[in-house]
Amino acid sequence: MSEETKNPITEKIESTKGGHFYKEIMKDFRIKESLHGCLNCGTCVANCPAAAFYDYSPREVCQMIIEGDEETIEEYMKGKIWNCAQCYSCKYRCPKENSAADIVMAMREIAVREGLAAEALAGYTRIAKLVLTRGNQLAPDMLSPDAFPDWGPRMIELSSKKMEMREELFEGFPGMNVVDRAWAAEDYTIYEMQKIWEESGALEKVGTVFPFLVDIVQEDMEDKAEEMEAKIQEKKEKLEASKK
Amino acid sequence: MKTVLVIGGGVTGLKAASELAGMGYNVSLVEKEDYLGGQVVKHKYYKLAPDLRPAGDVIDPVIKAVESNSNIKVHKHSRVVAVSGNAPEFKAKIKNSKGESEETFGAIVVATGFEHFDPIVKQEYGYGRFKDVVTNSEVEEMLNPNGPTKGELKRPSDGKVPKKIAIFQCVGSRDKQVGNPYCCRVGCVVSTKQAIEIKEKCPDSEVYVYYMDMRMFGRGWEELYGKAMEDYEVIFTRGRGAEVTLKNQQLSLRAEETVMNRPIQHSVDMIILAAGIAAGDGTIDAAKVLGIKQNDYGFLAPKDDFLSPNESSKAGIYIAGADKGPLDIENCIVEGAAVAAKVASNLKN
Repeated sequence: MSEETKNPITEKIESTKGGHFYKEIMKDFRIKESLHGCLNCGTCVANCPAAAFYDYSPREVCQMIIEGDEETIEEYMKGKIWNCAQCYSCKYRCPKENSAADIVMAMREIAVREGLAAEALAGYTRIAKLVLTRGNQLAPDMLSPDAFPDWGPRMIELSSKKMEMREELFEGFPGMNVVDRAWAAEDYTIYEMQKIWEESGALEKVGTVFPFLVDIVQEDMEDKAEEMEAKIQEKKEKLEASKK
Repeated sequence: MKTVLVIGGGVTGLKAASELAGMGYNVSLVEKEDYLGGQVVKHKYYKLAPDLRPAGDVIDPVIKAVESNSNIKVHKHSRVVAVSGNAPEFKAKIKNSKGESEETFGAIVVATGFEHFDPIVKQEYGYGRFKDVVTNSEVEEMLNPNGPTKGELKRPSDGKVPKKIAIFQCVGSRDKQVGNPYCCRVGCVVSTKQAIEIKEKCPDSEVYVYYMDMRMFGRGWEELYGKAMEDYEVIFTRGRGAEVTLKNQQLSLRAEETVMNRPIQHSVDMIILAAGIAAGDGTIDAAKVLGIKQNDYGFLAPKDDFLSPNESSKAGIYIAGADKGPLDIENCIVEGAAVAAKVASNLKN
């Protein structure tokens, strides 16, 4: 026997409702419109494509919010809510007109803000990095045989000829002849985009999930800064001149 | 002696008419169909819960009491199209295929009843698309020896006896999506009764009831539920039927076993939808013609739910039975008698 025998029955002595995360969630206007009590009928789960394959249940999401236990909410924000596919089947079938999908959406935003999403979103690091440094989120390079074990020989063969195919397909569009990103945006455009992220505070938010990506972006910006700022100056002068 | 107009020839209207006639009043009973007995006769209800007593045992004497009473004038195939005046003198126009007639009445009893919910609105259940998805009233007709299948339970698609049958509870009840958030009050007991009848008829069959809560509040209902589980091995699964599709030419339903926390797919031969209760056309028409108040769902609203349950929002116009909301036959008869007493005592004063 271990040093302490755990009581298998959960004893409810004090209310666990009303913690910080619960309060943050209830502040969101979507919750009021998305939860009107729950009949526990299971219609949402029966229709839910995520529930069919993952450890996720829209009914549990509703019940969890109704119960409001802080620990459970935290656990959900770190894990289960990220399994929802946001298809909204639950909303359109629920006899109480609840919407677990909307609750999940609100919870995801709060999870990002509160720094609970890092582990659940770790799988998206490549995509996030690509967006932040290249301006688009997918690249032909991501579609490689090692990422898709179900590919047959033809797909593997085609995937080895990505560059040739793109060159043929996009003849005369040099920006498209890349495979490490969907298309090549100009350095200047990327710098502009990064600047917007930095100034609007979006980059800071990304930092709550992917802190190291912020460094990468900032380094990227620093490398280009001198050249780009000169270009901005040049453009400004041109604009001024055209006005006169 | 004043004459009373009773609108509706279902159990409630019939009971009210015969009670009033028994107290010496003249009664005009107006029924839109060409038969008496309302939904019980229309859908050939076979047996009544919880005693599995033939419906005819109950409805036939009620009809006979009206037809054999010379104080009651029955207008079949007729509708009340206009009413003027105030209590205790109403002028009502009664219209039938032959023409219109106007009569004067001292009081009006509205007993226009309900209609079964039409599940075609719940398109995810496939009613109207899949032949073997049927309603509970269609099953009632099937089980009745005087019905279209002469009492045989047969799949509409191929006429074969179904081996696996699922019953969906709460179709068009407790459902905001179709605007009926109320409970139909009879679906649970009717489904349990039908499950037993099916098991008696075909002991080899498997009957599954997909439910949210079993609301067995009536006389002997809970006992019937126990009997279905213990003696007939009907399987009750806690989880509402969510969707019906066709898979390899067989019906496949989706639901969640909410006790086990798992979504399931289940292949069955036939699905019975326990369609709920909605305010009928007759009730909505009557409310319009008489100018009496309805509730949010189209049912008639009593003046005071507790203190004057059988009086409408207008003096001299009384309401009773399933036009006020879902009600079982047993209580409809009680309502019919209650409204008769109220009318009689008010007319005397």
